[in-house]
Amino acid sequence: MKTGGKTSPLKPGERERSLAIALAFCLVDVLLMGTAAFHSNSLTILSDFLKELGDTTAVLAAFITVRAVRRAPSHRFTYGIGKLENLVSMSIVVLMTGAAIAIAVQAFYHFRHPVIPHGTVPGIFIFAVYAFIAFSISLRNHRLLKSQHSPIIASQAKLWFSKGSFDALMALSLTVALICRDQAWSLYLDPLASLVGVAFMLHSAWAIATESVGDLLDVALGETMQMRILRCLAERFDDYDLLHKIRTRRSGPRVYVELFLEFDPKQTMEEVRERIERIRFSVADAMPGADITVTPSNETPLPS
Amino acid sequence: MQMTHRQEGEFLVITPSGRMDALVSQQLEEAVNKLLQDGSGSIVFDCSDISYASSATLRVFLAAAKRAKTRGSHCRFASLTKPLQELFEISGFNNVLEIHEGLESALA
Repeated sequence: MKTGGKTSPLKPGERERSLAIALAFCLVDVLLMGTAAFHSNSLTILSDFLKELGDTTAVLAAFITVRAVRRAPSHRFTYGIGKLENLVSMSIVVLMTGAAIAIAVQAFYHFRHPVIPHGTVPGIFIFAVYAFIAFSISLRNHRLLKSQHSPIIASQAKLWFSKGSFDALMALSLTVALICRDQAWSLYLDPLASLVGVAFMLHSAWAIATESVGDLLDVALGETMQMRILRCLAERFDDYDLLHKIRTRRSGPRVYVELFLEFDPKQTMEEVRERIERIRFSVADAMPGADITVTPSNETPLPS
Repeated sequence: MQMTHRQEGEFLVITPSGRMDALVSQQLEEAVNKLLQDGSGSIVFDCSDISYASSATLRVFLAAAKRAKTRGSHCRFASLTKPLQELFEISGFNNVLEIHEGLESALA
């Protein structure tokens, strides 16, 4: 549900904007695939429609939640309601899993009682267009990779290639089923392809669930973020005496960083405060929008 | 994780080896803290056998270097493996920590 990703800290406004754009694309997608599914009895198209519907609901819920979370913490929820996003994500996981099970049951029913798919041409067309777009983006990313090394672009290239492959496979299976509709074996292509769609739905649900459960259990930030914090602490090496602990967590769109540092006891409060501010600003610069606390401490804190 | 340590003159040489993930780093931190509490001399981390280091390992290194500096001793890092060298560059550790190409120069 987090379109911002684990390693790219977006400011609240940017995140809301990117979610709004993603939502617009998802709605167009659902509308097209929904129309195709309505005019067809194909399980493949229905499974893709349900998958897109799940993704769109996830983005919509994220958008609404981000707007709700943006509100200042109330006296009742003094840390805000960031976890609401994770709770909504978990509900979507349940819905997506339910839809996947329903499609799988239908697919097995169609294996036992084959039906001739009809009205699949709009679906084939949509899948083909999506495959073309996804492969074009993947190819563009691959070309970019030749001129500059970037793990983000590399992962995007892989992502779009896998999306393109999925859409191409769906288009191919529906086309073959349409062309060879007189052959008995072609009747099994539609339920078979829908099971591939089910696998993708379950994969999406799993990705959302693992991220949300991690956030609910206050899992520490990923390695990239941790490296940024360490870089700041290396840059401000002379501003503190001892490094006791770094504690990080995420609550919805917000990132929290707690640094437990020991300072020279001979320094005045004013000097320590200035050093704390320097460290805090350095980390805030590296992680825009993060909530950073520097706690003067003379021992490693116990897990809370 | 395997970790050995030995005294070489005024230096305590600590040799962690293998894959240093978050869980292993916790064991390393406990072991290093215990060693640093017991002694007051300088330390050298022989990093020649580290195949992978997580950010948690780097934090242990940074904390050990800070502890050594605060008490006026040395904390040196010798024989960094290629992946570790890259991590030290990314995290900016190469600008603040005492890094030596080999163990001999670190002990000099």
